[in-house]
Amino acid sequence: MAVAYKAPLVEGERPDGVYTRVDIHGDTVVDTDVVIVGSGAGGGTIAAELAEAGFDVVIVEEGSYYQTRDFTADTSAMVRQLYRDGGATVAVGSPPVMFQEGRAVGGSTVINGGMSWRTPDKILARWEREAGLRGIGADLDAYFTRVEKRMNVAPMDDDAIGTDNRLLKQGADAKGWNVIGNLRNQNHCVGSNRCAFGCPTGAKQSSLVSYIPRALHYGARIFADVRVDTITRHGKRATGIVGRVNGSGHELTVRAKLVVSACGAIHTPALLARSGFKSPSGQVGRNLSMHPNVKVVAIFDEPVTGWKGAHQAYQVREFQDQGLVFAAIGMPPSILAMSFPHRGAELGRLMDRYDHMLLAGMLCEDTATGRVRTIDGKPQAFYQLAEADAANLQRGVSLLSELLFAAGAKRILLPFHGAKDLHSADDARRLLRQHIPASGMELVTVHMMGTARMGADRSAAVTDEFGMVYDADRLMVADASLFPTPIGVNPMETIMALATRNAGFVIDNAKRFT
Amino acid sequence: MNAAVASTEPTPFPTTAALGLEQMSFRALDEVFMRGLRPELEGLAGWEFRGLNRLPLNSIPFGTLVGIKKFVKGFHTAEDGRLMGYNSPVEMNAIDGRWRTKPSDEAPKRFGFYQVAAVDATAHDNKYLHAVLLDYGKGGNPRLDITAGLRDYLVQVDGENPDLYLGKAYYAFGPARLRLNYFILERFRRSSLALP
Repeated sequence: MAVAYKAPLVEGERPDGVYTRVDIHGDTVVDTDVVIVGSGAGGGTIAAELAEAGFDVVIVEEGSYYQTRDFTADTSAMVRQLYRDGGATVAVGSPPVMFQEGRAVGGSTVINGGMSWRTPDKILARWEREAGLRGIGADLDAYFTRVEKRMNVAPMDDDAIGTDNRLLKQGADAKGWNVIGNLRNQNHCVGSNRCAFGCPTGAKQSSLVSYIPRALHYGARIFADVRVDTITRHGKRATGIVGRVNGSGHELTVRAKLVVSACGAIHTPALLARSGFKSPSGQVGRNLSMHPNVKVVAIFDEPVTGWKGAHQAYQVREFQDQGLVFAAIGMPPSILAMSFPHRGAELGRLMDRYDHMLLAGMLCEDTATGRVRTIDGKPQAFYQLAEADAANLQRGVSLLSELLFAAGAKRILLPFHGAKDLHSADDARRLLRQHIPASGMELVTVHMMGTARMGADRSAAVTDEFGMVYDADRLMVADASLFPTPIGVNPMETIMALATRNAGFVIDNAKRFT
Repeated sequence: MNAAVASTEPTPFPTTAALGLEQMSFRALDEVFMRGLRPELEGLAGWEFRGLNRLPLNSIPFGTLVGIKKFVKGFHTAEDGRLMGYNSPVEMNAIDGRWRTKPSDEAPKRFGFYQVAAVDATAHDNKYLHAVLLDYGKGGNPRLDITAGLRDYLVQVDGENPDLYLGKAYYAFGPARLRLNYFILERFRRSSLALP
């Protein structure tokens, strides 16, 4: 990531309380009440809640601090600066799953689509039943309401909805399928469709522009550009963190009365593992769910101009009970071109039709689980798509293609290696009868969950219902690692609600952490 | 939440729940122990508990032969506020028979004293943070008393039953800890050492 250091985009003054690599001139020791590793949906939220309650809070973030004015249309630069590994991290399996994580103050909320959905009731019921989280459904209700208020969850303004999403809805309506307007954490989004590369208007209420400023207002401090190496410990009590400043290598030590790991379902288990915290259940890093996604590219006769209009203004929920949710997605030409198998002039001719392309994808509530192993201190995800999930994805592609043909698509490119393009709804239906090897599916995801799952039974879970790590003291998890199961919808709001609830536990038990 | 308050009238004989634990394999007891809850100290203070050692090779009546299969453990609050405890020897009759302390129920012998506290995460004996530790090293036993090396972890088996506990015994050899056995405790009677 050296490029980011040579040409930092941060301009002007930073808010009080934000420290970056340019502010840390040597090894530094900081004392605080609570240190939080990560500043995304979990870390930003719990930081704001605890700071507001009077705790002294320090956030340590591996990524850099960028502001709304830094987010440009230079996709390549944004990917390098805002994504871990340039967005090309891979879970090993057949097929491999490419996944993306945010790496900036605000975490993945800076680069997500902003879809804000409560955990479905059936999932909460499952958590009660399978993880012993009694009453969590009713309990979370107030936290969802609080989160939705804090980050302004609202339907899209009608004039921000682009042609791609209108076509998706048109297709769903033609099929008679349930399609709903997406709730997003936005304030009069103008539909620039740059959600995944940093919202250039600040309309998307990512943690960067909602919870982080709130935390700073109440006195929290952020140390950006610092990678946390380890959680320090005295016996089984977490006592702080030690990290290194990117670039300079200076050491940052934070001594704290409570350590919160909120660096996501890939890095939280690795941080616990390399810090020597072992779960009595042996489940740290296990139970990785990924909501594997596939996309199709539909080409229309009329211009679609998919770059105009809000990201995922609608979701097709007709098959949600079967673990499938469809949506239109925006993707810049540079990234889309990389995903095509075509080369040379053929690729050029295809990309010449970019303004007629509608990209649509689906989220699959997976039944398989993978694992994050810590190898030489670094996380490596392993995930093997289940046959049932592969079949569900194949069926989903067939259904989504039917929908797109109903909306007027003339040709559909499939996410299956070597598969022929579809030219009609009949082709889409015939797809169901074809043998599509799972190993040839092009899978991506941005939803990693479950690697430090919560539960009432310490012999099966990693944390208790408030994220306190079993068999450790003063150590909490507050990110998607906590999910006992995949949730089948976008996870941001669930992460935030759980983080708010965890903060409530700390506030209610303040004596334990002082 | 685990119930801290003792049931009003403990039974004179061990319950089937306690006897069932005694029959479990070590592997099964490991799971029960891991799922256990930290006992509330005030629920222990002032009470004596019937004890049953679940020793390795349970089918061999070794414990009965050497007089350690059955025992009584008592808990009381010391003048300095610490929760302390003791053991009393018991007549080795049938496993489901009465617990009769020796030399008499009226004046039982007390030995193997220990301090009781929630496990300190920062201490050397911090193996199970969800347990309380019966630390015989802090019980005031004579320095050369063999019991001074015992370290027992105790959990409440069921949140709804404040009368039944499972203990896991270790022996301290310097910094090393040797796992010994499980034991089952069931609320028995008021301790005569209980403060008024």
